[in-house]
Amino acid sequence: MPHIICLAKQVPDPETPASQFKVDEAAKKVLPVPGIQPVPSQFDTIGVEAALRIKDAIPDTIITIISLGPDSSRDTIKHCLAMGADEGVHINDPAVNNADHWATAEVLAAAIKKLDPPDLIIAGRQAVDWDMGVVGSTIAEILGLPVVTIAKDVKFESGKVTVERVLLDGFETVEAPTPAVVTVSNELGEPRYPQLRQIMLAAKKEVKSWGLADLGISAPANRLTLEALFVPDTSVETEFIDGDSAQEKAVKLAQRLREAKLI
Amino acid sequence: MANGVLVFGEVTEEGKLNPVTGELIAAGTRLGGPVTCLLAGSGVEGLAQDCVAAGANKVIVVDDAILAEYQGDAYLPVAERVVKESGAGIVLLGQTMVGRDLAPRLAQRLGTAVAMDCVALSTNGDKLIAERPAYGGSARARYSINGTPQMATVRPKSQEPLEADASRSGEIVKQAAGIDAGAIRAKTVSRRKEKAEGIRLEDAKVVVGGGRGLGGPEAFQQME
Repeated sequence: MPHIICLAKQVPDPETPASQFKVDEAAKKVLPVPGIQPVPSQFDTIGVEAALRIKDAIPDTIITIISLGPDSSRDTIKHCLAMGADEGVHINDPAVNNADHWATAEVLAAAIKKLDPPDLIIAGRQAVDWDMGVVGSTIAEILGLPVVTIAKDVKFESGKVTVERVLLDGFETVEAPTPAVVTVSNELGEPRYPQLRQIMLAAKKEVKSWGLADLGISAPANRLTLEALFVPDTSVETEFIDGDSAQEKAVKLAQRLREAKLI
Repeated sequence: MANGVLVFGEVTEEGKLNPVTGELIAAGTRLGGPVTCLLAGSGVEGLAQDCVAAGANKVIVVDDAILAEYQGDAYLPVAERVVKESGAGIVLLGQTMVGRDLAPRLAQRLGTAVAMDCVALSTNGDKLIAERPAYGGSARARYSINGTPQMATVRPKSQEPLEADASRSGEIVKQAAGIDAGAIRAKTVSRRKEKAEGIRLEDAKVVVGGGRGLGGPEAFQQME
């Protein structure tokens, strides 16, 4: 009976219009936009999709979702349960509300150790808020597990995971003994959309709520200090070439490009 | 920079130095240097002089068939050992397919942190200040790292390389890889390249864009 643990993070909606994206520079935080709900990080739901494909092939697979975050993260767990995962663990502790990637990895690793040993730990390749792409690999190193990153296909059979990884100009197939960590990329495909029946079943699935005391750890230290957070100035200077005819404009454009040493 | 900067050089499939190497060397120089470049791979020894020409003060060559193609489990122990022995205060890798995979694992092995996909680097005394895009580029974050060495991966083409200077001199040392093949757990069993037609966007010197004003596909051929 395979056990897969999927890590899922709730993030501000990346579809938030740029005009509404604002940063509180003093607090070094992104301001939540009224009316725009946070969402599960896209690559993490793709990770759940990867787990569900394995469950499609091996129906007695158990999929556990773990999410570290405040109260609202429960919605992300519920979404993953509605996709078809079996149970959830919500790690909710104010002491780690400002945990960086390394503290997050330590806490998640501690939670994983408390659960039934997994065959696979699946995470998104990066969270779509900070875009760092470190937590999955860091957890693998903490737990001493092999890790295969940026997967577009994940196949599991007893004792072995076969991963197709995305390369810059192609793909490679990597095999690793399980237990192992795999991080997934969008090339794996669209995460399945929760169907009504699954949404209703999800309401009955268990979501444990743990604090650091349940994990037997104190808040790990942050290794990164956020010195500043700001919205960059993206004003662009556009030079319009004018002239009386297309030919004239073309000649002037060519001259400008030569002056700018571009041609 | 106390104890210098170590950069992770990369080699292309065609056996040339990946341009990100020169960019990392230049960035390391601007952070105060001195710059040591780790060049790991197979048949890469001949490229060490190019690293010196690009500005590296020292090149550590680890040349072994087992390093012919990137595998995390083979490259990681080499990188870890070289970084520890160098005592470098700052370690830079490219935000490449290799860097994305290697850097987080290396950071954890070294008990430190890495700022990924940085587009600007500066120092405040001995503190590295790493600036990177976040929230899909909508925001910029500046970090400092509480750990040694301070690590960053750098976005390709974000750092201006130095003018290559063949007259530069630098120390080139060779080291054995010392990898136990049995310790490689995640094994690459096959690779499939997809042949792209024409020049890759990333390799082009100049990119000319055309829009709807062109009226149709034929006009694009005129542009060529």
